[in-house]
Amino acid sequence: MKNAFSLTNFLKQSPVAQAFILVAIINASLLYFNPLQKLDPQAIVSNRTWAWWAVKDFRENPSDVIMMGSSFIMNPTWQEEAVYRKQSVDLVVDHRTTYLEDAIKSRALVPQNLRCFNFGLPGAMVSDQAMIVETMCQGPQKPKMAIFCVAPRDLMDCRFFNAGGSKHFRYLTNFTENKQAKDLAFMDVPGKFADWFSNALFFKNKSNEIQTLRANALKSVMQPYLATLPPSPLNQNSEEDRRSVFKRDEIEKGAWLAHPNTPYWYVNSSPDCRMRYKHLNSQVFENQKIWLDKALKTCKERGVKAVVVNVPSSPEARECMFPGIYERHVEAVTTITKANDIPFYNLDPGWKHEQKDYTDWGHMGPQGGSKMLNAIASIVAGNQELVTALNSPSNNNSANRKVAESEGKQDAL
Amino acid sequence: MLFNSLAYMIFLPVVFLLYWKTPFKFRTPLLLIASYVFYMYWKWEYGLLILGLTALNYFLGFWVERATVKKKLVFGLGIALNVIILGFFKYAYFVHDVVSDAAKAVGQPALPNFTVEIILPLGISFFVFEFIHYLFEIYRGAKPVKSFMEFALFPSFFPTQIAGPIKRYADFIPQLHKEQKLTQKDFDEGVELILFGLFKKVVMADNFALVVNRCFAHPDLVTSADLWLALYCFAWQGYFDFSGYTDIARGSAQLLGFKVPLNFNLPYLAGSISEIWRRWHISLSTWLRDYLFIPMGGSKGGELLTYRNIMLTMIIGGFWHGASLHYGFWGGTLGLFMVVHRGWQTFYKTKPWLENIVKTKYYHVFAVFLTMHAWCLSLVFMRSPDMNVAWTVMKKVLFLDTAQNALGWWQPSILATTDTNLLYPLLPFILVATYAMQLLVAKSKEIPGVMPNFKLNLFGKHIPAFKPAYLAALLIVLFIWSPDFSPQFIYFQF
Repeated sequence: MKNAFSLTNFLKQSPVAQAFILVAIINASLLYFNPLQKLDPQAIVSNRTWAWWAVKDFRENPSDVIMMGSSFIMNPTWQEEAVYRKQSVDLVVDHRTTYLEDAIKSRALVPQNLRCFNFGLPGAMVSDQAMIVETMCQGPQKPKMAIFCVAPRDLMDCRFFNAGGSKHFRYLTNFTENKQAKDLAFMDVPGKFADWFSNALFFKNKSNEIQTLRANALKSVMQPYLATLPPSPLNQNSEEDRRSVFKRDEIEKGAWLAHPNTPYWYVNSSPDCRMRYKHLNSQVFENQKIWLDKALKTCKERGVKAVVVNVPSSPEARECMFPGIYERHVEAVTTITKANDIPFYNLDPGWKHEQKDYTDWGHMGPQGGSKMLNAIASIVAGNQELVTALNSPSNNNSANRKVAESEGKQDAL
Repeated sequence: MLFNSLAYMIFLPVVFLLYWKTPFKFRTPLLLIASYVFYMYWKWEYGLLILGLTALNYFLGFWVERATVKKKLVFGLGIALNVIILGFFKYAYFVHDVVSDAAKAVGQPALPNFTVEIILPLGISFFVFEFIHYLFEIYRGAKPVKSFMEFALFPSFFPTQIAGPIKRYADFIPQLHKEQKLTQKDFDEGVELILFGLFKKVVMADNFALVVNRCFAHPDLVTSADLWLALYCFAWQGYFDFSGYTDIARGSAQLLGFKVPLNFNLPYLAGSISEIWRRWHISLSTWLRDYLFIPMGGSKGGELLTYRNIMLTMIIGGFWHGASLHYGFWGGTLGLFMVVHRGWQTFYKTKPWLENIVKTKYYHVFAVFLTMHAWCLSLVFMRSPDMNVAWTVMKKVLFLDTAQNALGWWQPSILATTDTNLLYPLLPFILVATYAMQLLVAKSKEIPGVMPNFKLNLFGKHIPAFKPAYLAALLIVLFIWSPDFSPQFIYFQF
């Protein structure tokens, strides 16, 4: 015969209730005393995502120009880089875009040691770009110029819900204490709840730090044993080995190699396009507008010259879009850039769309990348303020690079 | 909705509270609505599919019962319809590719590609099997379920909807008629099963998967010893992944006062492949026995026919797991091992001295060891993405590939992998500890997944300190280890 459920007895007798109370007490104590020191986010090895690698490369190799955007920017720039260099380029560790550097240098009188950095991240939204500016455009690695590359999806993707839900965003927040940025990160109730839940639980909030400290401690204890082991073949950087084998967001060196002679062809992925442009997604759009405004203001405050470029939307993408998305996008970006006195260039008018430039509805291949990078270089070269910014001696990059190199060596140790 | 998602962690308590606050007569409709919300959260269109299939089988049940002259034909039609629907969603691409390849091989043009994308509805293999079981039982003389609502809840019941256990309607429907009261025992065991299931999935399975994925991505680079380690890891990954899922399903059902079948019973302590199969995914193996092996004649038609039936059952069981040749090979390998074991049984029973040896515990230990390794060998086919990789791995694990890398075949070189965690160097210890845990659990009298409640004798009082500490530790480990995006459960793809 089963006993009826009673709340009073439940708290006294249920091991589950007692366990939850125990965890709550431990959690409250740890939140209050916070015994874990803040780790450098780069030291959190369990977090080797796209953003982790890009930040690592950027800190080790400060650049004059950062070009931000989603994979619409990341892919063609990287693929064209392999063609241009005539060698394979590992995007995970090599974000330099010599093609853009040379394209700018051939059009304008700028320093010969100009460095451009491809800070495109897959799935990145404008809020991620804002977070890059917030966290990276300061200190020794501050660039002279930030190029914001935006497509309509970057402000309203229907598969996207909260700025704070982005893995890039979450990683970059480790570098800042900016409360305002954190407040803007979540708009909907599930997002706010998940954020609250994560922050209220010490073990969840600090899970990466705990895992890293635990791994480091174990590693030092096990060092004598580890030294006896033969070298592992899995440490080789091979392409297909790395791609699908890690936890979903983690990537490793060798996972994304662009080769100079790889043939690219167009793949029809219009269902994905329709999904992203299914409706106006006004809530996300309004939030992303605030992020764009914030990012541009941050650039101005920190003396980083900003320019916004609307990357071309293919005819297939325009066909997939819910009516009004494109017009609203251009109008909003125009208004925000004008209000901040930032130059805005829309590459769409006059753009010659050819299907061979694309690998799907939104991503260009190396050929399209070349066209786009040339267009961006022409924009930079044609704007005297931007050229002047690139010629400014302010950031003393060679000294910074030495500092960063030594930081990099310390990281590697 | 995934069990290891925040959405489910909100969904379940809401359903739990509503369920126990709702008068008894409204509980079935409430569970039905909740189950459809759970399913349609993934893709609402497929809610209509499951509803359509349910309506079809509901009426087929009555038709089979009432048919007098052509009962067998009606029953056969019902089974065929279910198999065709499952076949369309699950095997259309496979059949298309096989036919195309065959056409190309004889110089004919390949079949044109499908113009629409066929997406496999989650859990279709599980609920189609429940429908087939239902029609079989009606055909054998059982009474159909009168209430459509109750019948609709049978396949859609959310704890078991996506990946089983495969229920029997005669066990499930009566539970809807019996008014349950929530007890503390049900609550405690239910929550503990959920936590333990999550632990198995997030901490054990997902970490073993790292080793498996990397070794199978590059079987050419690693040694035979590495691949054996990877196979042990895959054996445990599969076990923890699916038994973890089952524990969460059982725990969720128990929170609502339902009992669903136990799906795993320490399979790696089995002394033969037949026994492992009786302890692994029990609801599927008993289904295959009752609705495939026995209808084909079972073991009543002599040894050769029995062997044929075993092989067919296991090959079909293999293909049920996935529409690909390597799944069929996996099933076939298990069938072959079962046939060999059956032959061995027949043989040693004719030799009394041999039978005496077989009865010793030393032989049992040897048999368990052999069984575990035979199971691991069969898993080569299950895990490999295609037959080419399967052969590469198989040659290495059977030490037939002499062209290994610079290291000797016996060297477990992956242990030195400098990865993001210490899983690799600790692997041998982890594997031994995992197996030792199974032996400990086997000694326990508790329900699998539920830890015994040891009491601390302090100042003359028995204080149940262990259980709350254990559960608290489980919770903390889950918070620390749970990644933001855990890979989905392996059995979802089936």
